Amino acid sequence: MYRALIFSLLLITWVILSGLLDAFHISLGILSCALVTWLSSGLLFNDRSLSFYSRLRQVSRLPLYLSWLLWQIVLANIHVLRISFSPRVKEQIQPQLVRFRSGLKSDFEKYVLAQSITLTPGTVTLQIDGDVFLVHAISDVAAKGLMGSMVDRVRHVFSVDE
Amino acid sequence: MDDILNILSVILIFSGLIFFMGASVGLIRFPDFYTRMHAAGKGDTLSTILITAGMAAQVLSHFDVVSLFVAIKIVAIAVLIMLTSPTSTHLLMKAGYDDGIEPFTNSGKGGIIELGGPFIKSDQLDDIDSKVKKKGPSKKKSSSKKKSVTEKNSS
Repeated sequence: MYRALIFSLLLITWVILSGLLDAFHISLGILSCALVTWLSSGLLFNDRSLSFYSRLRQVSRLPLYLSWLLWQIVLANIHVLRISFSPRVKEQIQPQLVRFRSGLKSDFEKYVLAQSITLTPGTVTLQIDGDVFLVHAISDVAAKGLMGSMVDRVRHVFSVDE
Repeated sequence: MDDILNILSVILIFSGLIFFMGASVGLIRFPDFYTRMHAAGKGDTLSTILITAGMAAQVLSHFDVVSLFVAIKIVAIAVLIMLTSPTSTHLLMKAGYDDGIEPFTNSGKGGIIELGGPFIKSDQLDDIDSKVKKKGPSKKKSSSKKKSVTEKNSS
């Protein structure tokens, strides 16, 4: 099942990148994708203990999270823009180091959370120690945003329900 | 249809440029290394998304299959930047932090604000590893501590 998934992912990438839809090029693509899948399909999806169905559920919850993240990025970017154009910068910013526990377990969840925090302007992940995140925030508003629902949303995306 | 997409792409690229300018101005005006990294490393996330979306709209204004593929490739560039840019920003700031650069604060004194956590609403508090030394006064955490203790006793 995973091999079929990897094969179709590779083939989609091939078709998009080549842009040629005649029989010759597509058969070349099918041949090389099959070769790569046969040789090195073990490299993708490290943890295969999850059932294919629950993995599918995780993927289906991802677009909602990504669109929410995009909206947060827009809001936070406008916030930073207003700070950098304000006449007295030093009174507008309150730089601070913030540390909190996330309670996430797998490395990939932590990666997604750290990446989301860093993508949102105004906060950067400095360190991850176990599940303790050390974050540098540029202002009180950005730091308050950390305590919001981001951790809960990441956990919800990757939660496994039987 | 062509005109709508053209106007849309102009609006998108223009607003992306405004955000880029905000990032550059912030790079000059912010007071220390960390805050400047905020402006330099991440002021460009939204502006890159906006500008690539504008280019994709421009390409799509003459619609056929090939231009659709080109638009997908342009979006792939935006995805690549969203994956790599935070990583490099994080590494630069971590290098600065490990090197002992003091963060600028308004009050003049540094220090780390503890938020506690984990911010869990439901009853998922079991088996959170208790490796962490710092314990805040949060209620949720103390309950998780109790739970882990009772688990240890029962096992």
